[in-house]
Amino acid sequence: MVHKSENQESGSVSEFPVLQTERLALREFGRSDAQAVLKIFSQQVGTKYHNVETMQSLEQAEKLVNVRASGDWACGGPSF
Amino acid sequence: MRWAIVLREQENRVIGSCGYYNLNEANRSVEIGYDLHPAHWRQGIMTEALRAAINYGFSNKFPFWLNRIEALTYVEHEASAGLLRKLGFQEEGIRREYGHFRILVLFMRRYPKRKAVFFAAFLFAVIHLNPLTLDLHEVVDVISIFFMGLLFTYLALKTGSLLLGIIFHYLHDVFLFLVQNTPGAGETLAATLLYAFLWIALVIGAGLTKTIVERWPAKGSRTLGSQA
Repeated sequence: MVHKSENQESGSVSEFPVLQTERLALREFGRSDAQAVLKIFSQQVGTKYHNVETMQSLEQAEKLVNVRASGDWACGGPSF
Repeated sequence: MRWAIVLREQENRVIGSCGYYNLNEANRSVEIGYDLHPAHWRQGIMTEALRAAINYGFSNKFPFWLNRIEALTYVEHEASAGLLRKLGFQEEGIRREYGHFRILVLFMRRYPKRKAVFFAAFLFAVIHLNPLTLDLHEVVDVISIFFMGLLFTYLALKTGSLLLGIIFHYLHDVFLFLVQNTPGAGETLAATLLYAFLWIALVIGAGLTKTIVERWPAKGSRTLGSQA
């Protein structure tokens, strides 16, 4: 399954692969996901085994979500 | 590329993520990473998500034909290692000094480099203070320890290793131990000169390290400053 997304940097259309499993959907990140990401990384237990600093503000989560949602999905930035 | 993981009945609430990074087309390899809200641990969620992600990686829909998927976990994170084993990953080894988020590295994530170095050296000095024997003499000692901390931090940053700092610290402490346990030795000119020599050696060593590291940079990545 595939859905279309606008590549913001180049303006070209790339296809982000949405995956479905029995219980889950794996979809593209959007800006509105920052709050949920903050919930994961604002607790010590969420960052203990991850190279992400424990977050204290929504701004930090937004930054991470922007990286994850950024247009060129085939290019992976450094992250665990 | 990073997938947001959501439950199918609640698609707008992200509970975790997984995805590929460090895509290396020449080597046909890639690294996989993942995170999940602790409330959803131990429910097979990540197994299910990664299985889908890995199937996708090895399918012809991936940007290039893939031969190898790598994953990193913390050595002590058994649950993560177990998950990877279950998915067919095999353990290859330990990346030395990879995920050691030392105080300097933690400071460097938060502050500019110079500030981080200063704080690390300052902390190094302060933890040498003994509140039971605190006097002016000891405070003066701590100032010299601060400068020693600056040099150690510099060496660690330049070489990406703590080795030189450890060696010097050892030599320094052995020297002090010998002098302090030899009656009268502390007052001799030879001891003072030797101590001065130790310090000069450290400063020269730091200078040499800069030259050596810049002239013959180590191959491969330095991992002391790894970040998200």
